[in-house]
Amino acid sequence: MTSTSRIYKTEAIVLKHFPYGEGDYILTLYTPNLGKIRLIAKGARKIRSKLGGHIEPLMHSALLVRKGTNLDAINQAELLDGYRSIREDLERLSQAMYFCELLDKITPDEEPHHHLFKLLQETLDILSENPQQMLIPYFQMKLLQETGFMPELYACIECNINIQPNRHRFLVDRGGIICEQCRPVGPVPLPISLQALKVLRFLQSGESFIAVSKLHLRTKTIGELDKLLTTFINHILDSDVQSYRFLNEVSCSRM
Amino acid sequence: MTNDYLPSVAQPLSKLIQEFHKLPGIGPKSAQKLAYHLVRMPKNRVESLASSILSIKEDIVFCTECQNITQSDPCTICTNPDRDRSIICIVQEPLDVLSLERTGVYNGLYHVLHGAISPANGIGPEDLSLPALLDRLKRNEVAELILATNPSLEGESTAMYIHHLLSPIVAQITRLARGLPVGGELEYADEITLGRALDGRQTI
Repeated sequence: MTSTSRIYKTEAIVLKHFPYGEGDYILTLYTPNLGKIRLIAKGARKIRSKLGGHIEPLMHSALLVRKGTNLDAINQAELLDGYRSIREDLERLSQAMYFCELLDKITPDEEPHHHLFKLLQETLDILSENPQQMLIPYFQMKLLQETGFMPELYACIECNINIQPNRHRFLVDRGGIICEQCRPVGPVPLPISLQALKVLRFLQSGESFIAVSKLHLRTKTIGELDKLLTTFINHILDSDVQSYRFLNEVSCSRM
Repeated sequence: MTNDYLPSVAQPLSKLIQEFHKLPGIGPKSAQKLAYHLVRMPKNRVESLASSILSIKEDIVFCTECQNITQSDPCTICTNPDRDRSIICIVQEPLDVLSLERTGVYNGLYHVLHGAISPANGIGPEDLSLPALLDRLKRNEVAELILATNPSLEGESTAMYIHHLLSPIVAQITRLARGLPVGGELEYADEITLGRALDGRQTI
């Protein structure tokens, strides 16, 4: 192996870190060309580390990485965007932590997916400018789309006929809408209002966030979307997204 | 590491090696070295080591006031009459108390949270010693709370959460200044640290 091939450069957004050894961190990062990767940042927990301030979770940085036997190690890091306005506002921060955990849980290691990097970057950019109530369902639906879990919203997943207005429910374990006539075995389908279904279809159509943010929705519909998408995502992951509880606690008390 | 790996080693020694091996940062070779070192040590020193290990389980409790690890409850800092009782400094871990005490600059009381909010790791506000802090604030007149959690994402979210929770009941809540470390170089500072160092600049 030549000396140059032992070093590579990448951009990355840090999803999470955990302390390792005396002063190191092991990081989980999302990159544009390598997908989700894990790297070691030696000495990054020490207060005078030249890496520490560039590779905290939620930081977008340019990295120089040296290949290692077990984990590749970060040699140099330069901050591209630290999302300071997110870090200094608990409500935005709790949302950002939720986005990172969700992306981390739903994606496999080292599978490149450029759109997912762009989605995370776009979502954090929007969040850092202005917190928006539709950002969570927007991110959830885009993520489902990009990872191949998009629910069926037009035809009944049992009998394949087109759904008639107000005569439908959502079947979490099959990932779609079911008509009134079909009686599936297994879990009870969730009720879904026509309004909520229309919003989901609108999100599915690939509209930009600018268009999505112009929707004026009742609190009840937003609550319904939130419950439905969260239940569906938890079913896909087969576990809870732990940041969700904190996100709810923070948004309920309107910090 | 099991006994099968060390057939020639006497049973008590191999058990000790296994126990050392369970400790953080101790590999099989270090475990063997430590165990053989103890074999050669005088009996009184081994007894002293053994009794000090036992005593951390038997004689150490958590201070009901500040939640720090202590031998007597309340701890020596909480009972010290020379300490300023109107200031409480909130830290993540017992070791942080030690670091702040070494500065010799602070003369108030402490409160140890035993962690920081980290939702992705399942640590929420309910896992910290916040009820004990609220109880202290109800019983005592406190003029200032200093938030001395780490300047990491977890520490910052904990500080913001506590600020939100307690700002209606405490007159002044402050945060440790964030900026450049002594001996560092500007070139390597990230823009958030540098930005905050500029925000917090002082006349000299």
